[in-house]
Amino acid sequence: MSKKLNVLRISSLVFWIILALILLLPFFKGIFFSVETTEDWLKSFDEEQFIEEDSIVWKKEKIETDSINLIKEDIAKLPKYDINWVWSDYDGFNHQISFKVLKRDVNRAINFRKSYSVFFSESKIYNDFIKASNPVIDSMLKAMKMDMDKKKIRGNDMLNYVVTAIQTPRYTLLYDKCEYMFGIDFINDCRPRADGRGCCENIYPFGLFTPAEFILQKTGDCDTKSLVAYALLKKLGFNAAMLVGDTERGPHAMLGLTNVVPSIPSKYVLYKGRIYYPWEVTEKWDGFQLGNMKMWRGWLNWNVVCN
Amino acid sequence: MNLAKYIFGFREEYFNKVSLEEKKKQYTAYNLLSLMLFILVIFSFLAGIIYGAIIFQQWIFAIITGLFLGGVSFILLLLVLFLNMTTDYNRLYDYMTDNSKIIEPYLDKDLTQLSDEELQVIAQEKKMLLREENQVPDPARFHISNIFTSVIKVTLILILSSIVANGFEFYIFRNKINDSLNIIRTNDKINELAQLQVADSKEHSNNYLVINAHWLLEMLNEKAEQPFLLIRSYSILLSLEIMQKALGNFKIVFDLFFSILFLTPLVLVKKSRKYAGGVFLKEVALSDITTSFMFFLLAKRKIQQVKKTIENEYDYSKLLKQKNE
Repeated sequence: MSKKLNVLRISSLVFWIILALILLLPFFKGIFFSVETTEDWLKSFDEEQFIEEDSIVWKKEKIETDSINLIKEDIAKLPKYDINWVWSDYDGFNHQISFKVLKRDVNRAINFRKSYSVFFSESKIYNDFIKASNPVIDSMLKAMKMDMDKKKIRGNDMLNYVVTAIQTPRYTLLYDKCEYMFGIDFINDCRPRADGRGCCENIYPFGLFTPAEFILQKTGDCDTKSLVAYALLKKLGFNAAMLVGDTERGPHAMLGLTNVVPSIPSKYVLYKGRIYYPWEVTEKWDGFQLGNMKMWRGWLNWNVVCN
Repeated sequence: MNLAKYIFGFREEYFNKVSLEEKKKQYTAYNLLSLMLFILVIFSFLAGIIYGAIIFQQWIFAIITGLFLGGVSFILLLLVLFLNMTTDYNRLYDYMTDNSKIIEPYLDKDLTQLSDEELQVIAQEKKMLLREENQVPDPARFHISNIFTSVIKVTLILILSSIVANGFEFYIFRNKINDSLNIIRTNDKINELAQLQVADSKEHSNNYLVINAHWLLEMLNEKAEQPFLLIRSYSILLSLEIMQKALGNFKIVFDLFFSILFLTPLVLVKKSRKYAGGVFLKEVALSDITTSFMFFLLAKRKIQQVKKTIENEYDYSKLLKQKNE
């Protein structure tokens, strides 16, 4: 009986002690409440990119890993490629950038692709290819940034500037074998051709070039071009993504952008509460602008695979 | 003060046959339980006022919310406590749910000649007999459904405790929450974003930062027609998020305090023999059985009396003959 009596006493004791603790709480509130966490909460407004038409608030990523700056040894002695890029944007302005990339960096990227055999996910391949091409991408980005600063290009104009640069080299198919596909008679010519029939055979694995290869050869199809545009825009602080899905001609890849107002809105992909507008980057033709998907009748299974 | 009288009907008459010491113990146990219940209901009432003040920003609605939450809490807690107050004197419990064994000897007995007082004596004798037969409480019988009902009861109490806990935390940390909200309200970035226009199509523009900034300032800037009470925000969810982030793991500890506070009466009633095995519940059960038995005897006597009256005063042959004609 005495043991049973203890339940009453212990429960009663616990109740009054807890009650006393709760009533004493206001005297020690300063210890438990941290106002500093509000500052952290507010950081979400700074970390997220916000775009407005005339001025852009973007993550100031330092471009320190470009092909030239990384080299500790005498770079003059190392063999380099001179790359010149000429294009015009949708507003009709002409642009030209010139930059150098080390042959060694390009070769490393090519070797990385050729030795890449294990498929985990599209996201991993894309990120690995970007990582392998980082010095070359950074060289191009540095040249673009200098040009944009000089011309005071800001906001959505930066998007137009970068994407039109990638769109300008003609579409070149990367595939196992060059043959009649998608209504085009592709020929085995791994150069951007004016007639758009260029094709590179035996591109393994996955028929995808690394961004370094594209920058050097200006040759690539949908996923290669989208990947380069994605890598450049991500480094500039835009909320870019790689979109993959199906059109009436089969599987396709595109650049995706969120937090932007589309130029020609037609289709979009919803991913984790955000709207990603697609951007067809394979060609620089009229209407191939952000959000416009009128060039494709079929629109199936589109999703964000990398962001 | 005998609080238990108003909640559990703890009256002197139940303890006429009980020792003074036992009566005192039962008095303490039930008054303690009643006091706990009163404190918890008052806590719920106060928490309701705090919620009302934040949601409606008007004292009159705050008090109405307090009364509502207090009332809901009172009914729920009482329900849970009463559901657990089943006597451990299992034979009495069985008689309460099925009294056929008690009334069986009187089904064929002629009660017409017995007065009310004599019936009362029969009922009281039965009560004394049952009291004598049930001196030692039996251990409670387990049934699988007990697990299910216990889970529901504990869940109900935990929901209630978390509601009350949040209300109290709002009140205790109100000044600190207001400081945090003021930091948000005066933040340059928020104000800068709020200056911008939200794009025409909100769904398609994705300018959610601008929308968020507009919303934040709308919630945090005091309106002349609706001044702030307690918390300087019109959004309870925003205040809750800020408080949750600022308290971190301490919030779990405080919520746990309230959970323990609300669960204690339930544990007490469930585990202490002072309640299920106590004299009070036994006497209440005996009283219920006796009352029910007494009313059975009265009803039975009346039936027998009416039957006799019909038999003596009505000529069935004559009535049948009249009907056939």
